[in-house]
Amino acid sequence: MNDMDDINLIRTVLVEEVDDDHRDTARSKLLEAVAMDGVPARRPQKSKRRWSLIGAGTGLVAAAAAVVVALGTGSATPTAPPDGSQVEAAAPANAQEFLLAAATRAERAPARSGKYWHVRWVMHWGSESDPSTRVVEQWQAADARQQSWWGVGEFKDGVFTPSLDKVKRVGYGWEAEFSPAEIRNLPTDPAALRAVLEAKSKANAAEPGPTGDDYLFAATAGLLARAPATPAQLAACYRLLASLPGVELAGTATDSEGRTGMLVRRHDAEAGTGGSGRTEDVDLIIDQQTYQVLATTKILRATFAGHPAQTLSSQSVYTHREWTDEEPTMPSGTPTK
Amino acid sequence: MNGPAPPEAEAADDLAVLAASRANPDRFVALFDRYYPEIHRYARSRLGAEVADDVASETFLIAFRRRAEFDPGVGAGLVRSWLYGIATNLVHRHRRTEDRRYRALARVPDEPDDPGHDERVVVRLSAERIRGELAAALAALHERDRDVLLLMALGGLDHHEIAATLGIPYGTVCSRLNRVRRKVRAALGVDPTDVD
Repeated sequence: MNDMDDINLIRTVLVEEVDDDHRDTARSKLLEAVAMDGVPARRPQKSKRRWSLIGAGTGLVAAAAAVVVALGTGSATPTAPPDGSQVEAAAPANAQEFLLAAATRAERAPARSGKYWHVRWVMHWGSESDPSTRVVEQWQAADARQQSWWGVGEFKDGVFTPSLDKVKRVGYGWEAEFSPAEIRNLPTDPAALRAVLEAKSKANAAEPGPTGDDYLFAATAGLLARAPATPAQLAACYRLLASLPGVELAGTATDSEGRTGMLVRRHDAEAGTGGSGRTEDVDLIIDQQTYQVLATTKILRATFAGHPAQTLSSQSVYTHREWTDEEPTMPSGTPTK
Repeated sequence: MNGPAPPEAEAADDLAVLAASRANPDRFVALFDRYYPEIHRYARSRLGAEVADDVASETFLIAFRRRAEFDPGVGAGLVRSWLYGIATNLVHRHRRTEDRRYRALARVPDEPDDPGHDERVVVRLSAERIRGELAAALAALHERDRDVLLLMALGGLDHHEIAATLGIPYGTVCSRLNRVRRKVRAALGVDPTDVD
């Protein structure tokens, strides 16, 4: 016997491998403790404003409407950041400054939780002559043993037809399609987050879709828009966006719900031959006080020599992004909650 | 086996994560993701899988509640050692389960009347006998002797880490480990002086 044989023998005799070490259950228990840490009784976080789906059916970025809705943190009006600095900051010099400020703001927000992660958004797509609108609502149960729900509502010829169904899993991050478990494991360091997204991009390589920085921008925007990420993870997303090339501020813009925010754009252009080409803009409309993502828009313009330019756009407008204890309800085209 | 001490970068990251988790509690979950598998492995190797589920889960709940009290300090070292310390205290509460498990492993089936013809049978019985003798030796150890031995064997902790885990001096770990391993090797019929 050599001098490590007793140690090796102990391992051989005592260690038993298992298929399942029940880490998910243990993790859930820990997350509960994290959520309850120092927090008094939680209150539901709905905005109390009425708003309506004005602008449905016009389908394009430029559509204007009337009512502002506060999002995410549950406050009805913008509040001063906790450090007491002015709400009205000087206009940001560039997109990087704006996004880094967003990161700082994001990571100061308290971590929250609830029975469901609830997100609602309105999608507009199609052309001016043939526009489409759809309402999508997701309720992802925080406890994997509870049921998650998916609601959809279609507008057709002025009639709104909703449905609400049970769903096994919900994916986040646009084409990245992260599962809730993968979201929980997202790094809080932007470089590490980038590596995770790049690995996802490679894993999806067989499927059509954006690659490289286009992919990073779109996937990160998708996480910011819909994922139940923690404050630190969201901050990493903003920082990753700030690090990408070709990201610029393009003034302010108003979404189809009438909310105005800073337009953060990534522009991509490809020149073809003989006067043809295509450009694609991926825009984020980001609230200037709360730095929440209000809307994401993709505008594709293709020009062919001798033909009028074709424009396709799709916009997703986020109206709810919150943890809630309230049970799912049938989607509404004109929610008053 | 569980690996050697995490590289310095990871150990420093543990401290950063733990510090950050005081104000931002959700940061703590990163420590769970990093260490739950090996803590569970350590617990189930001593207590069996079923009890290990509770011990491993409780280790992180306790660590989370006490995260503000963790003091890296001189020689107190690593977050990993701290977690093993909490787990070991929980294992102590299941002393009878652990004893029963070793005694069950120590039971060796009776030899067949004529083992001579089949070499494989002879080898198997020898292996089982050694396993049985080891388990019996473990069952006979004092708790604190078991701790140093199994933290090394199952957790892959080095002497400094074991000292931090159990809150005892480094020198005590060295002498205790030497003595315990000599005892175990003697029980297995091996030259007891051949210990590093």
